[in-house]
Amino acid sequence: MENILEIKNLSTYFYLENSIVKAVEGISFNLRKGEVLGLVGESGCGKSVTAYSIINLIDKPGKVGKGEVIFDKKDLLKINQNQLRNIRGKDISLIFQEPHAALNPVYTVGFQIAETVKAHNKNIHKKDLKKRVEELLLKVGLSPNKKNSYPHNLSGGEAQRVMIAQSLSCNPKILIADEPTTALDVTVQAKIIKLFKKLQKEENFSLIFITHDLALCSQIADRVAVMYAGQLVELASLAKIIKEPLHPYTQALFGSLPQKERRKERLAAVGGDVPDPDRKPKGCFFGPRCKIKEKDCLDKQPKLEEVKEGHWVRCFKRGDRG
Amino acid sequence: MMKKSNSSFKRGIRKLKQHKLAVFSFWTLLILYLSALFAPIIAPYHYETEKRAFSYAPPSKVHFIDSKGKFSRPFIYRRNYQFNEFYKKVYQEDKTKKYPIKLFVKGDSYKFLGVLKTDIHLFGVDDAAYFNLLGTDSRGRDLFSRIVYGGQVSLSIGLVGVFIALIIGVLVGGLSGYFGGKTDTLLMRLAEIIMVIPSFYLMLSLRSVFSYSLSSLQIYFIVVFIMSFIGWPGIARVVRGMAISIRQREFVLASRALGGSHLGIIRKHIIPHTFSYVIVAASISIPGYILGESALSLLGLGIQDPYTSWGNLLSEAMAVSQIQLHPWVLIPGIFIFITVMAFNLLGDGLRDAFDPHAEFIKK
Amino acid sequence: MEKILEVKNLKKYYPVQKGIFSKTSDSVKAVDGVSFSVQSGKTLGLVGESGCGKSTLARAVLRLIEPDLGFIFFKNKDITKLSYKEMKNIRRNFQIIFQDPFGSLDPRFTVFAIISEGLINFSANTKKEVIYEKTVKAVEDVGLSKDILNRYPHEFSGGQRQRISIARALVFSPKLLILDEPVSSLDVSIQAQIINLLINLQKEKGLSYVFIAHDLSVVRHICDQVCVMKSGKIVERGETSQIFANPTNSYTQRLLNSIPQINLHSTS
Repeated sequence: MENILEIKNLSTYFYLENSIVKAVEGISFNLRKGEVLGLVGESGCGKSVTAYSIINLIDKPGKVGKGEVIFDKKDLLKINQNQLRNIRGKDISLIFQEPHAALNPVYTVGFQIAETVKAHNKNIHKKDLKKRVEELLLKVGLSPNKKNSYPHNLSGGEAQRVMIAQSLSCNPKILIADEPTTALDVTVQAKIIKLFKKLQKEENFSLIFITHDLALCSQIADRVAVMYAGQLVELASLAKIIKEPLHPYTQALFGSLPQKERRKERLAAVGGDVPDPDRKPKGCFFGPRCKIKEKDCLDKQPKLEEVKEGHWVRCFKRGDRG
Repeated sequence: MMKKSNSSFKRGIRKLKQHKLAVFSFWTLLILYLSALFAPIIAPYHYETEKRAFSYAPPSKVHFIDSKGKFSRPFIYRRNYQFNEFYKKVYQEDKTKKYPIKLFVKGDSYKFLGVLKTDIHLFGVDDAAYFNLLGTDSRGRDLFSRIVYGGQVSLSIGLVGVFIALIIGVLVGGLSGYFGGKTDTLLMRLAEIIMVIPSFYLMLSLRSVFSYSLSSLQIYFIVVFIMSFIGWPGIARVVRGMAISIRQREFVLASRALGGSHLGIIRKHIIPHTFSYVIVAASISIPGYILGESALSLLGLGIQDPYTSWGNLLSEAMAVSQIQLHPWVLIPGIFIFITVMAFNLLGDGLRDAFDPHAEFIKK
Repeated sequence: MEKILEVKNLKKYYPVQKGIFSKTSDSVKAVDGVSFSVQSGKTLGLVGESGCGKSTLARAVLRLIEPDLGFIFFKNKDITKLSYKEMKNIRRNFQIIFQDPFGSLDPRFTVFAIISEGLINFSANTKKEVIYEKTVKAVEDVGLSKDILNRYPHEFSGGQRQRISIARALVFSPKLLILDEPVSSLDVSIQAQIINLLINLQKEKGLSYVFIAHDLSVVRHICDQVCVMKSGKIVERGETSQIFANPTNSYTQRLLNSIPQINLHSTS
């Protein structure tokens, strides 16, 4: 399949008063046309920063360092702000975790959607604009009358639908959804996931779905990328990740999920904590918590390597199940 | 056992140090307060020492070059006066004899800090001459000495007044916010009643409750009382707001689940969280106290002659003609200005460094 | 089996005030006539989505907020009308763990001060050594080392903080813990650690839990009985296995269907 976005060795550091926080360290992956890539990791692993770095939306003290983000034959990290603005929101759009925080409380929903439509389509006729807004609302499963409501009149799920409508307003080629359902209740979450699937089929955009919830990711993703401490540790198709996760961290993530058949038993938890972003271990970042580590793991850093076709793992012991 | 979290305090201090104006203000204030504390040593004369012959003498000129054109240690000349055609004193220097300015000279005797009896002054000249760094007032008293002594009242009234207002304000606000309901309604309406009366009228009417002729110490405490009476409601209202939000935080609930008493929770969990606000509020409101005292004294309702405060000294400058003829009587106003500015700038710096909102953003 | 906690018809309404004269026009029925009981040594799950009143219920049971109506029995003793002081003696028997491990620890206190606070509240005259010993015991029970006692909450990760708040609750050796979403703000790998800890503590100390959560897979894992709450009411209750296998209430069914499962066949 054709790659629509190629990310090579992307790094984003935050330069603080007395430390440098390496939030993202050398991430590389490709996004294929029309696929859903699940980006999974625990809080602080750098998955959101990765998303923002892709469209170079990192504010001081953070800085996207070396690396390339190739979209439409252009490196998004090299082009100027104007060109970037044309791509942001139009070709690549972002959906946030807190829909209520991302919507402006003083404007109606319809106005805010219309604004984004206009931003990339300046000469649109008023009638067309109104039609487009209603069409978008319908598309995300809201009544067109909702365009006159204010954000505070909406439930969390409705607000998230509005955000999705807004991000779809310019027929983006890539949608990046940063934990879009984390702030929502499970029943609402299920509906939003359904909506994402439907829209993805209709519009055929590529979706980067960022989440901390492996199970949720398995509902929607075609391929899964697992992040730990600012690095990709495993990347494979969903089926491969579920059937034979190779990286010990991915295995541990699965072990942490309560299973139906094993009530009240100990979960196969990993000990320890995620390393502080400014005090990462010398060797493999997962080394100190790893059950199958060897001496080498604590000194040297493994590279992300393709161990089987389409299955990338960052581990010296790639594949050995502990 | 219950130390304040060190790191946020250290971070605050570090941020404060980066605020250059605040640091400068801090040192200015420190110098002013130290000079008020050591007033009897620093002032060359006692605040009551008067030489009527030298009324409204302009500031003494300090010379570095003597009549022979040679460079010498700083000295002054004795001054004589004549009357001009308007019967105004015109001072002239008698250049026959130099009076060098000496360090640690003997002068008026005083009790340092109320204990040590001594007559050493930081600087001065021999008794035959009259050294007035900033001129003299209508009764020929040395203005510089009186300003230094006056700082004792003007500067301390801010500190003491704010301290009392803070205690009342934090206590009332804490109780009001924590308990809510009727306690809250009662205390807050009381605070609002005080707040709606224009503070200057309130100040005057409170002053009128007390007898006019009182000892200066009594007046001092009355002024402090009046100022803190006016000041506490503002603090109480903000502390109440903070207490309401802290009360709902889970660590307070946890403390209640652990069997903590109401007063214990207010003392241990609520009030300490208002400290950063309180420190900032204090430094920003001190100028108000200093100005309030000045206003009362200016109107003759505060500290009474011969005792001195900056406001009381300024009352000499009430007439325009005085300012024209003897502009140096305005100098106490400059001291008030410097102090008020310094407290405001320091308060700004403190707010930037310790403001709880800034801290939340960082997290 | 012995009932350690019984709640009967508990109600908590919040008035909604409108207009300048604060007329109470309506009320939000946060908890609307809830009854349940907890067996000694067992775990009761209270499940529901945000706004269903489960956290209000937790606080009302401990009388951290005052219920409007109903009864709470702790070991068959009615504690609904006890005064604040009388409650104090009961409190050492049941404790609460909050969801947010960042909000539930006073940032100005050291870990030692946090954990020993309750001990000092109850017996100001206890010897310092005894307090220290009990504090160390509690810290070690939750899998932390006693070296952390002089440190401040902000130095710890979410999981460690949650362990500290469990230690604070354990310091009295309570019989019942009310766990208000104790793992929902934690990462999955840390969540598993805390769940393991809770299961172990229950086995070792015979604790009873009221486990409040919205995450059904966690509830299924550790609860013996489950009550499903919606809009302040319990809509379904029963043994965990039974509820998860055959939910009768339509809301419960919807809730169960919404749990994301590891699913290989939904990718197409």
